Amino acid sequence: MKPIIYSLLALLLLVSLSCRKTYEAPVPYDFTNLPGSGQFGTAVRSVTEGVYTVSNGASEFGDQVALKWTYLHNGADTSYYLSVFTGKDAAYFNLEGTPQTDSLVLGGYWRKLVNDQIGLVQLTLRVKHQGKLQLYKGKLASGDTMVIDGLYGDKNSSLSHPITFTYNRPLNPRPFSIMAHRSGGRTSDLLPASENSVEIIKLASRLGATGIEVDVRYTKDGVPILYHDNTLNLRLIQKNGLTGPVENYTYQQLSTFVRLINGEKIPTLEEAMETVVNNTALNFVWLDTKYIGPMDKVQAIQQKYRQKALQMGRDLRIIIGLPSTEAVDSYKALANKENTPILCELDTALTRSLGARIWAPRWTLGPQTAEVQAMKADGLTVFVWTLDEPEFIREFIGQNQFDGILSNYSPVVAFYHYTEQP
Amino acid sequence: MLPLRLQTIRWVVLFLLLSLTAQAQRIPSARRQRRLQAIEADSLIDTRRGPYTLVVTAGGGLSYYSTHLGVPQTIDEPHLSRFGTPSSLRVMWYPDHRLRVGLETGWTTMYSYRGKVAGDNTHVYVSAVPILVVFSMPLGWLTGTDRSVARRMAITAGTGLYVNHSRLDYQGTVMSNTNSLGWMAAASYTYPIGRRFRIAGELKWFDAVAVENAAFTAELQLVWRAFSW
Amino acid sequence: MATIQHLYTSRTLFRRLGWSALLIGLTQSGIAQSRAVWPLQPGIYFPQAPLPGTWRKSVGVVFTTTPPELTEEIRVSVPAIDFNVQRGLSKNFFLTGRFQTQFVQSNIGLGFRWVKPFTNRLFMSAGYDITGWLGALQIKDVFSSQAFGVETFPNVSVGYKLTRDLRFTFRTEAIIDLYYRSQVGNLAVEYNRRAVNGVAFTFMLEQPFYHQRHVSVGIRGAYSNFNWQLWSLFDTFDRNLFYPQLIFGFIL
Repeated sequence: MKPIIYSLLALLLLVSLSCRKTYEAPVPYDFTNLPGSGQFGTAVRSVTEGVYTVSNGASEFGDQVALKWTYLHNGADTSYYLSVFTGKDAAYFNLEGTPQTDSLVLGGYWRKLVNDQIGLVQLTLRVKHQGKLQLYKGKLASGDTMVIDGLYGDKNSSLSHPITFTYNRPLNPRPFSIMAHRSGGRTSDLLPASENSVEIIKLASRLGATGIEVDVRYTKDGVPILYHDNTLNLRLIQKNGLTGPVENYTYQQLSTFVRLINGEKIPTLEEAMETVVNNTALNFVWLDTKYIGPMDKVQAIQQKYRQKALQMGRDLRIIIGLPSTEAVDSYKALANKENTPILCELDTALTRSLGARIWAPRWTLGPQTAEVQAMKADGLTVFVWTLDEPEFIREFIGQNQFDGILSNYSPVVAFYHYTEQP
Repeated sequence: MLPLRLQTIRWVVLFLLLSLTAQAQRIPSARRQRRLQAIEADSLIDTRRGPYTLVVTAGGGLSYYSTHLGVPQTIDEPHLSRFGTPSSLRVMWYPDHRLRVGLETGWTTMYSYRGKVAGDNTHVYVSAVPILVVFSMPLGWLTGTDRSVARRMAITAGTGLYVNHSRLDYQGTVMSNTNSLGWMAAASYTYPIGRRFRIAGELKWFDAVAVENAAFTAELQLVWRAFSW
Repeated sequence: MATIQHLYTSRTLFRRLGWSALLIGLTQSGIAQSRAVWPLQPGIYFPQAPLPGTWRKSVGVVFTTTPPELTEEIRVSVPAIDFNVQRGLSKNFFLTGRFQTQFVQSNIGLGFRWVKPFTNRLFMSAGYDITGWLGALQIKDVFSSQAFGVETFPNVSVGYKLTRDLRFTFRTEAIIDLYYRSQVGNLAVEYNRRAVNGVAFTFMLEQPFYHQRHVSVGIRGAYSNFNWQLWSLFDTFDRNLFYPQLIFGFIL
């Protein structure tokens, strides 16, 4: 008896000493990134967007989903992707058209952001015509219903579980800003690209975002870069021995020694803005002021890329976020600040006194209905940040008074926004 | 890294248990009877206490960086060093029972690497200063004499802060610090060399968790029983 | 099971020896018990009931290290004041109470333990605790939030008197959520589900410290996807995060 007790005790001790578990969610699908839309032309993309009822797969992804197409420019080429936003476990699908000729087939992966569940998915476009299910060939007659079905797998299995989406209604058309935190999402959510990287900016639209928030700091030699934390640390970067504030290092030193957690370089703000303007369909960039000091270089970049976007026929709003009184002081010290759009995270009186066009309080203050309505009555836009709790996202969207939500879970915001019924 | 940590912990636990087993089989000596009575507080009202002592320990030795290294792939011809020469200073309160408590600090090299980037020399050096609250217990206490091995052996564990220092030499010099929570565990053998002095050998594991720096050190220490009351 | 597989598939002889030696050591330690009756000593974690009708109390501090998934680069060890009280109802049955507070958030627990002595050194207990926690933050431009919840902790403790002055306790607990409600402004979210939230392991030493003052010193590792002390971060992860705790208490 005794040896068994002691052995059990020893095993328990050692199991418990295994300490922190490392979670990973490697993407199981290789995107072809084929230029053009293939068979998924404008008409097909248009009819496939909408809110769908889930039959097979509802236990995994909830009973309804929102489908939305996005695109990514790469020079003269454009790649199209279909995203599926679900109401369960912050799950999303990232799909592309496959080059099959006999049917319209989508391939890609699904992922749950709250945990590390991920898997392959393959869907076929069908249509229910006079009660019979048949392959969709690009035409939808009156009374036909779009049905998208197929199979999904999980980490350990290939495509094995059936999934069926049946078209229910169009997406909620109300204008609403879905802003992805840290250029797309947190590194701790095990996304396939690191937070505040060029790669995650390219992913942001597929995660549901219509805009992004980026964290701006300066290197020792005055280069504006994207980096969130105060120090170099293993949450964000691969191990290299370097410690301390990112501002202690020159851009050349960072570029040589530091790689973000998924292997990317720390981007300059200019590289990030080039990506937004040249590659994405994002319509809003929130430059969060993480630095203390002069704002003129960021102002110059804001103006440069605003002009560049206008020349390309895009209405891209680039605003400077003021999260602190130090940032407010930096803004006040700017020359020609009248044409520099700002967003103020502080109280309403200060926001008004600065002439900011956007007020962005923390969500942990609650809906603040009276203040929000007063600001909107004065013509201001009101966002709330950084809201990730799905039930509160649903409630804030249901309140229907904010103009946008900044979140690490843009797929959840997208789901609740697009499925909201006026 | 984890298997090595588990291995270290496993041997320390084994060491403790075997020693305590041996202890349990001995009959308490007369010298320890009063201490025994004192701990049986439920059945004895004893208003007298034993001596309290302030003990200062200083030492140095050799360290080996015992976890994964991170050297950027941009470095050509990398040369690594995992060895260092740690030093430590510990101030402990020895009450009249087995458990002791105190503070430890010191300095230890973690690792360094050098190499070239586009023909330019580079060098990165990483070290840490621990500032830890430590608890220590001799393996033998109620039984045996000052000459018994178990009474000379102690295990020590602590937790607190590591001030991690890095120095980069590449296109200038950058010296930076980052704080990290961490812990330490150690086993030591102390040998008396006088009424107030001892020398000790200590094997120690430093682990600065947040920065994932860990080192195994072997130190020779001078133990000074500075003050008793 | 993974640990057992690891034990037998390890390629390193040294590692295998380490495992085997530890098990042998633990076994030998048990065999070496004396037959003498050992005195009852003050203890809070050791699974031995207070004398019927008597109280045991302790006051101390618990440091909880925050997981990087939630507090990111700010990794701190957060202290909480920790009070324990126990009352013996019979020779082998006692009630427990615990109160932890950080002033803006607190946790109160009630429970019981049933004790089974196996030898004069080896004891076990089975227990059940239920706790309620409450937090509220009102900070200008930052928080107008409060939350409370109920959790329950079925637990088993194994205690071993290593020597006459030193007692070791290993406790394992299941962490089960019963109720959660949080509110920001006038919006509220409520979860009324019974869900296994995680598991915790405690390793505790209890012994005299100075003069006749006894202490509890130990560590607790909780693997859970919710921790009441971090309610204000509104954790959305459905992952078991690691919360190491250092526990130090004076037994009064």
